[in-house]
Amino acid sequence: MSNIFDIFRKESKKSYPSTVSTKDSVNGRDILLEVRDVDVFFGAGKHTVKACNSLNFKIYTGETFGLVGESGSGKTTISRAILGINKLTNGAIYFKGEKITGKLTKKESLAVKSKIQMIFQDPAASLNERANVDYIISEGLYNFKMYENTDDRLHKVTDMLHKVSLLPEHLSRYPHEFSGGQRQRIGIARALIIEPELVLADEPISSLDVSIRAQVLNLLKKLQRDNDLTYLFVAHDLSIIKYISDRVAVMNDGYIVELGNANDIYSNPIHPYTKSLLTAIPQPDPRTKNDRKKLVYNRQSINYEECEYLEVSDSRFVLGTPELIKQWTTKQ
Amino acid sequence: MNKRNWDKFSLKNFSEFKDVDIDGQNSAVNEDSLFKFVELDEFKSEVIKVEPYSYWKSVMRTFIRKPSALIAIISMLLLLLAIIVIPMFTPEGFLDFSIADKDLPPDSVHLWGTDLVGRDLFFMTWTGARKSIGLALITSSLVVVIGTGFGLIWGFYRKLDPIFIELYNLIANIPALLLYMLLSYVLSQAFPAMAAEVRLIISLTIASWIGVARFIRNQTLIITNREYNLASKTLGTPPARIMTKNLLPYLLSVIITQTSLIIPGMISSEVAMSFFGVGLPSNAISLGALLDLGRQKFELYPFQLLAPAGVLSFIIFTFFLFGLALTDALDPKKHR
Ligand SMILES: Nc1ncnc2c1ncn2[C@@H]1O[C@H](COP(=O)(O)OP(=O)(O)O)[C@@H](O)[C@H]1O
Ligand SMILES: [Mg+2]
Repeated sequence: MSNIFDIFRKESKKSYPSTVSTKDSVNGRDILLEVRDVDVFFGAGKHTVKACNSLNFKIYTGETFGLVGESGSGKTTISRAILGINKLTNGAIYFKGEKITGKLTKKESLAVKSKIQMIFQDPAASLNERANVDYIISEGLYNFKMYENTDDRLHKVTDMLHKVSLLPEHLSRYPHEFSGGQRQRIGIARALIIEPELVLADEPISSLDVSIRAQVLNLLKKLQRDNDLTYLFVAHDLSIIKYISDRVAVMNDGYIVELGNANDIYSNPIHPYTKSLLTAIPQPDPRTKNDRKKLVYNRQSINYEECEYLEVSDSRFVLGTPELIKQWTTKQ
Repeated sequence: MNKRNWDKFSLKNFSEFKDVDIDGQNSAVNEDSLFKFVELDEFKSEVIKVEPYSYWKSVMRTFIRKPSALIAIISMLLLLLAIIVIPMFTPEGFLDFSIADKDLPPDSVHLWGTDLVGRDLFFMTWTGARKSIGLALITSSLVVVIGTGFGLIWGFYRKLDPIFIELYNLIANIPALLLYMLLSYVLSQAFPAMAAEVRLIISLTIASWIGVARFIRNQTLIITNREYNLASKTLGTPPARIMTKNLLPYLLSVIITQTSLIIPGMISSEVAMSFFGVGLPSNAISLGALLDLGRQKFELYPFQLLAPAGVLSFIIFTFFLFGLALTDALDPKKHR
């Protein structure tokens, strides 16, 4: 008899309020984005791909929230869900306390777009090859009518170009004439010119040449400082995340397995997946390498569906069971 | 090489270097005069020195360089010259019925002989070619413009897919000739005053646009999920501008390729329709009408059929060759 009720409980979707508080009740910080119980599944039946499973996290105003995990763990999927490109199977996403998933009017969805922007992973694929830089960077200005006349628009565009260290003479050029780093800066300019509050940077430097990664990363940091931006920074490499983010969520196979302050996670990883990611970071000094054992994570060893989020210390969450966490924290 | 050896090696090199005579003066070289500080201008490294790449310039260059394109261009120019110039110099009465001059073989007056009602075949054929090509160009433009417009909408709005697919099945499942005949008949009943040319253009357009639309729809589906279109969506770009700024420029080369293959197809369709008596009336001067007449006395006077048939083959050949060469040139991978 109780089984039947279980089925009912699973089938009936939880409903989510259309507005939530923007103050974190625990620490009093301002919440810019809140992701609640988000599932994103692709396909149906046997071939369902569960790209995101009961994701929960908050991004505070002004911080850089890092999302890290190997490729295929669902990082792009959740970023696109925030933008409304991927539909949620379950859950809700709130921006400044307002629900931005589910049915939105055209006006509402446009308002969200003007506040949340994305920097794409591959600058070669994400720029319109048949449009010149002037149009690419102006696109958002046209959409939101953020200029008075052509002079004003050109002024804004050249200003933005300068901020990303490009030249006014680039306006009439086409994307394929630029280097990878320059293209990514065009992409950054396109996203930032409409003055968003939240920027989703989906592995913005992983397709770039190693020699220019630092340059682009520092540019992103500088732009964040100058424009009071909040970042969701996606990467598959913990070293970059440590450098740029305040808090980190570690993702594996569609689940967040560990969430907390970047320093804590870096210095004291708990989940075995996080540990394996940390040992995968290449060491600059070859002598230290020998001391570190490269840990290999066995995904089959843990059934995520039987785990829950446990707060191991202040705002530090790990996906596990009390027994597992005890095992992970004591075993050395 | 151990460390000491290496030191020796570099020292030796250094002494050699010191002996080098710079600028012809035997000056003592010190490090300060060899190196000078340059200001690092962050923006200078961003300058692009190469000429801006122009897609269309490269298309032209690739096109002109190919030998087969050269043949296509020459025969196209000859063809255009022929259909423009020859009809202008038609002697008085050469296109009129003249029973006394009927079925003449080629001679110095009538270069290609005369047809079964005494009209000059040389001038008739080229005048007819002009009309057929003109009709084909108008119809092809209409078909391509309408087909591209609907194709973009069909590909962009997935919800419309079932409607368009039904429409496509409806139009595509009727044999082309039967459809032309049907449309032409309906139009002649509904609008008796309509010129045969207009009727022909309309029925060919109605029957052909959906093929182009489907082609454009498939092409659109391939490119709409590319990341640059997602970027536009996240920027809130309205559909109309996504279609004109993101999709159409990418489709332009396939549209041109399609058009160059549609034109000869339209010429054939006009000929077929007129030949079967549902296109232009047989007293009209078009290639189809001429072929229809020429067929009637083929055994006795084969030239009456061979003249328009030969010109038609030349036209189709020219357009196809031109289209294929253009397709090649439009492919950026073939640009150098
Ligand atoms: N549109 C889609 N349709 C089907 N499966 C998808 C789609 N997008 C992503 N996936 C799948 O979801 C999983 C997570 O992908 P993704 O979010 O791109 O990972 P990441 O960005 O972390 O590399 C992968 O298994 C991927 O194949
Ligand atoms: Mg990704």
